[in-house]
Amino acid sequence: MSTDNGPSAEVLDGMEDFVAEVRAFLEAHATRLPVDDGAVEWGRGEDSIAYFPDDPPDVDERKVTAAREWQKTRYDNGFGWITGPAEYGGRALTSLHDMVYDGLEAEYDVPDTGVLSLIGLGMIGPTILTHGTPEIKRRHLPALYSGRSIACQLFSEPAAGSDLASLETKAVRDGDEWVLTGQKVWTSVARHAQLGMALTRTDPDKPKHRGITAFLVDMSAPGVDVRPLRQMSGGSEFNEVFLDDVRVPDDHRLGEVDGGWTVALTTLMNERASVGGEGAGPAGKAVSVGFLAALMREFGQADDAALRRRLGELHADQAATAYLNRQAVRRMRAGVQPGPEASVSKLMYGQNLTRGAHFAAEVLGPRLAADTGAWGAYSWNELLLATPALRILGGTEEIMKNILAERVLGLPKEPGIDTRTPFRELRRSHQGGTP
Amino acid sequence: MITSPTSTAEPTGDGPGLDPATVELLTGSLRELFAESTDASAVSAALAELGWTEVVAADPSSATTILFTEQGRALADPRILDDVLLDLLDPVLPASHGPRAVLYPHPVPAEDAGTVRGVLLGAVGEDTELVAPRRGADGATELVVLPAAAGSSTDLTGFDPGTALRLVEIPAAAATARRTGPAAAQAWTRAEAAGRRALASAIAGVCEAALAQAIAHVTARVQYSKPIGAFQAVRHRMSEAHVAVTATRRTVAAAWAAGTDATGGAWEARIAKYRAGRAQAEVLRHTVQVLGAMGLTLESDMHRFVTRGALLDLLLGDHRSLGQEIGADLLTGAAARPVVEI
Repeated sequence: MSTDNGPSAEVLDGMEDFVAEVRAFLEAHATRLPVDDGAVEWGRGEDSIAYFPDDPPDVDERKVTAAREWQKTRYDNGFGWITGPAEYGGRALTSLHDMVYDGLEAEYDVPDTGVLSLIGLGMIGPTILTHGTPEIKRRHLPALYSGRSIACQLFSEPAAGSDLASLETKAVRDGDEWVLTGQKVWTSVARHAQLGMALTRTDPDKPKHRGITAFLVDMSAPGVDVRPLRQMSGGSEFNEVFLDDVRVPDDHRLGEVDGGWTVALTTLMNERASVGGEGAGPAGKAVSVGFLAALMREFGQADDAALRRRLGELHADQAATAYLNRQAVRRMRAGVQPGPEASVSKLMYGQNLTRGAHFAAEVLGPRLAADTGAWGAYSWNELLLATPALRILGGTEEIMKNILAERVLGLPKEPGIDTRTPFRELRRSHQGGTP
Repeated sequence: MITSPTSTAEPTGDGPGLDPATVELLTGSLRELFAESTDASAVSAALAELGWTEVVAADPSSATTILFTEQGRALADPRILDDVLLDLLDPVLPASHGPRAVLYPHPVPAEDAGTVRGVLLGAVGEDTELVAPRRGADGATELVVLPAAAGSSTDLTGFDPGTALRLVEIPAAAATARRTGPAAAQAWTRAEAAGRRALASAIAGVCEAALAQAIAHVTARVQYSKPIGAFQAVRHRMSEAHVAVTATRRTVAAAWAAGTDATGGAWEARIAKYRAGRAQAEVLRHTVQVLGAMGLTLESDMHRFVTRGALLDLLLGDHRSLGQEIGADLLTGAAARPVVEI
């Protein structure tokens, strides 16, 4: 059970002025939530524990608007981009200030800004800051961090998942422009996005990592077609994005021509750092041992010895994950950036949610598959069906284990030919046409 | 990297205490010390020479964590565990008349209520006083001091030939001292918590050494023209083992941070011991498997880690019973403590 209500005293040390400023801002613009004492009130309120929201379009739209407005309020008051450089609208403070702000804001009832922050502000913003020209930074960074622009990641493709560098979407130069053609997939927030960061193949005769170029694509440009994918858990978190002769000016390029892999690595590093540490909202609360214990009592299984042992197991694993995350925070405080070890937290986090959902499935039995109307029973199907996603998104479990094996344990790499062979000659999932 | 000679134990290292360089230095000294001898009395003498008491006084969490991690790695005699418990038990007991040893609770208590049944970590002399916890008539834990000479003891070395455990049965009536009441019960709670933290570190050490050996093997062993560690089925096992050990070490560090309350951090220590016990089951299953048939023979050392891991799991509560206890406490809500702030 996690009790991360606000930042720890250790983190707050020496930040009194900043804390006071944040408090004043939040008091002026938001309402404080009642203190969460972790107590479980069975049968009260909504019992939805969806990991991925499944809102009707108008509700979805309203939430996005609220997110944009709250981000603008943050930005106008100096909290839109706490770690960003001042010339692009940032506050030029440390990631600890950022964490302190997040911790304090969690005590208030404010709109969820995940639609902006997870991809756009968390991953693409830092990538633009590292690789963009001054002109690109001026054009996009203030827009992103003030909530005007939402960004998505046009990375994965039907034939390029874990092996992202085998992507096939091609970009062909035409004067001062590039013409992009191909298909992207698993694209979160694409329907709401104004900006897409696309990885494309610009030279199939080079080895796969060396013929990739990154572009910033205007999502409203002719030829961009976004189609939602429905998930088994409900909701459509992901989309397919078709690019059909989409024209992108050369000054929208990020990094060098054929130097896109370096750019992509910046984005991916920020992705791994964010997935392992994120909170899980209602799902996190549902798999807390307090809630699961209430579930056992409610459905008459409190005396089952095997389930008791598993409850203890879940508690120990959740505690261990919380300790690992706090250690990461402490290391960040000491100026150490998250390394391959972050994969340990990510693996455990996905497993904790999955095991919690499986535990509930065992307690509930048939009530999970058929809606009997009992509060807090059938609703678990949303989480149970969503947990596989936790073990896939942001790098699959298998890839995480490979990273640990190679970079932490020092095991030999899998001997591959793909660092030397031209991309054109590599075997791929489907051999449809020459890129 | 797990095979590096630097400290893989994870002392809390945040508060005042030993700095990382000192911890590394001490880890190196301990590793040499255990490489020279794994015998209990030789280790105790070498520790005294090293001034270990002062190291413990300066930073108990780091000192105990690295000592027991190294003890586990070296598969050394586990008898130094007695010192950890006696440190907390002696103050509530009468002055000793000879050497003392802890009689650890046997998972199956004696059928006859008048008999104390327990496990000694090694053979003791006739003049030794055995200190044992016992459930009193009122259900509370009490402490008894029993003369070793009054009991019968049998060999318990079957599972792990590297240890000399003894199963002891003594009539409770032979007790030379008995301490009841809250102070005695609390002393045992605190001693048990300290013992569980030390055992969790020892198990982490066993797992680390086994994992290092497995990693060395899968890196050197070539099949299908490549090291078998390049196959995902193999490397994923190693990564899962690493996750289990890392989680254990972190949980032990957190348990130390919680160890200052009246119960001596009993709740967190039990979680740490539970986590370690489960880790050894997971880790050793993986390390044995990747060694192939070589891991099954006595020519490989792997069996020693397997038996030692299982043995340490049984002391002061095996992971199956502890998991069930934690779950039961969570259900009653009595001990639903939040995750400790570290």
